[in-house]
Amino acid sequence: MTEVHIAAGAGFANDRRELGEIAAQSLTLFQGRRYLIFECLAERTLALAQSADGRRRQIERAISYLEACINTCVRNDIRIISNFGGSAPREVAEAITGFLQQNNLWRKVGYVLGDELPVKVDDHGAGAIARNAYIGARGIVEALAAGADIVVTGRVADPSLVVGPVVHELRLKWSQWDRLAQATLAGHLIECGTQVCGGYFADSGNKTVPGLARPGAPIASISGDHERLILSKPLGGGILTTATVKEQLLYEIHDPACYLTPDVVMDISDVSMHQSRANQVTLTGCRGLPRPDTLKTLTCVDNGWMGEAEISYMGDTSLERAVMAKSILQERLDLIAPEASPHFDIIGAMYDDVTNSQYRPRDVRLRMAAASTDRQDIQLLFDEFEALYLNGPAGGGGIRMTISARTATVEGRVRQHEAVSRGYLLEETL
Amino acid sequence: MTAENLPAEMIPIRYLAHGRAGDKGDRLNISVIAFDDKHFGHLKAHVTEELCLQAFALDPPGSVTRYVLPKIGAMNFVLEGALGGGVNVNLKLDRHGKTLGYVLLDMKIPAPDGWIDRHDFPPALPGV
Repeated sequence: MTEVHIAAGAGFANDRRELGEIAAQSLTLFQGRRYLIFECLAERTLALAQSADGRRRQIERAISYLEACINTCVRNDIRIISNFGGSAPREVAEAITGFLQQNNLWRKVGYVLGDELPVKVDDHGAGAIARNAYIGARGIVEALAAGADIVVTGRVADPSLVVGPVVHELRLKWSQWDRLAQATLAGHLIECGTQVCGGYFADSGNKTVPGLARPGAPIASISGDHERLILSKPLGGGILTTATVKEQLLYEIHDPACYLTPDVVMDISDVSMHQSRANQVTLTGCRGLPRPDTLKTLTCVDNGWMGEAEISYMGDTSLERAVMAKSILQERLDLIAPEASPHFDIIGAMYDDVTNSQYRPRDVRLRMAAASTDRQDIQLLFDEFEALYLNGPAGGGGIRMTISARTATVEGRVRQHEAVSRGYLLEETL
Repeated sequence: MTAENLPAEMIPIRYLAHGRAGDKGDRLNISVIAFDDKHFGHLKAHVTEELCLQAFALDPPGSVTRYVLPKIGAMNFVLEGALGGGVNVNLKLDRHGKTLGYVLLDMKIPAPDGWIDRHDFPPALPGV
């Protein structure tokens, strides 16, 4: 019976490039069909990738991920699937082809389209930058069926990067809901890379994790003839235990019985797991329900500017002086910019009731954050903030102020047929 | 006063459970997972939606819903309206709310029966 093994080589856009090579090396220890995925798209990434500069950066990123692992992948016939195509999957696929040819590597490159939607100006005004649907795994399956060794996608749902190869290799039907859910679970658990292998888990006391300077990559193994999903971490530091898997299982989950994806509705409320050996966990009991009629969409909207300013206070009365500085600023802004409503944090006492606490931190920073469509508004607040040096409470120092462009995201839904996931093969790689 | 009449010692949730915070839009979720399944019933009784609201009383979310997963000894708390309008517009220092899991895990609950000393609990992580 066919077995398919999928490793994760990245969990976010700028993950360590070496993880891809660790993942590929780990895959060579498994028999069967082998895939490496890189999950590289955050909510805002597509907005940032609209400019010429952003498009260049997304190409450089895709190639840098491949550079680190391509030789191991080619030598061991490991196929690669990634959403590092960002806002232009075909363009990135072409650039990858160029890179491969320069290195005398002959691999077929495919790409997936269908996520990009026309920007509806009437909805979000002139500021709408990009609108994409979270499409499913069909296009990945089509590209693999056409012979692609590397599949470049844009905004597919993160777990679909794993659903694609599982459906392709195990010849699943698009109505085998439990099997689609199992593949989705595999994708959900590995798409954040090392986060299931002891990354983002360590704490003092009993949550000790060895080898975090070079954690291993997770591998999900699914076979055609049984309902088990096996997760393992054969190489590298970190740990893969029922505890690390449980944290990742519920990560970014709302109702555990109803996790919506474009491919299937996943129900993890009845999942069981056990430690089948060191750094290996076996899961059963994932259920699937028919996929929703609609797909989630995300519209990125230009949303002006955000400014952030901070000032430090030291000593036993640092908290009192930070609170004093905040009051002074608020009084000033009531006079000068009454419409501004900045947010304040006291770093060092974020969740303490500062008016009613015995807690005396010796080192705090007052932080002010504000947003506006007009950069000048932010500058005005910065001028007031900087004046705390000479006009504020005693002993303030270390002011830092930064301004950055802000992109908002607006969620929506479209019907499945309005954004169809389609896979293609780049002709020049045939 | 006999030992039975003494109020139960209060301990932070994190002595008995671990967890992780995740975001989606303006919604934050925090898992609370028993280190040892034998404490799950105790955690379920004490780590309630009300306790979660208390933890975030200084910056209250719109609502809190708890989901229970008995097969893995875990609960999932979903806080709506907890991220200042959503990750990309949130003005708070931690836009994703990733640090907030520990605000809940630091909340105190009564020690379970048989609790002796924190150094006896929780047991070593399974599988290590």
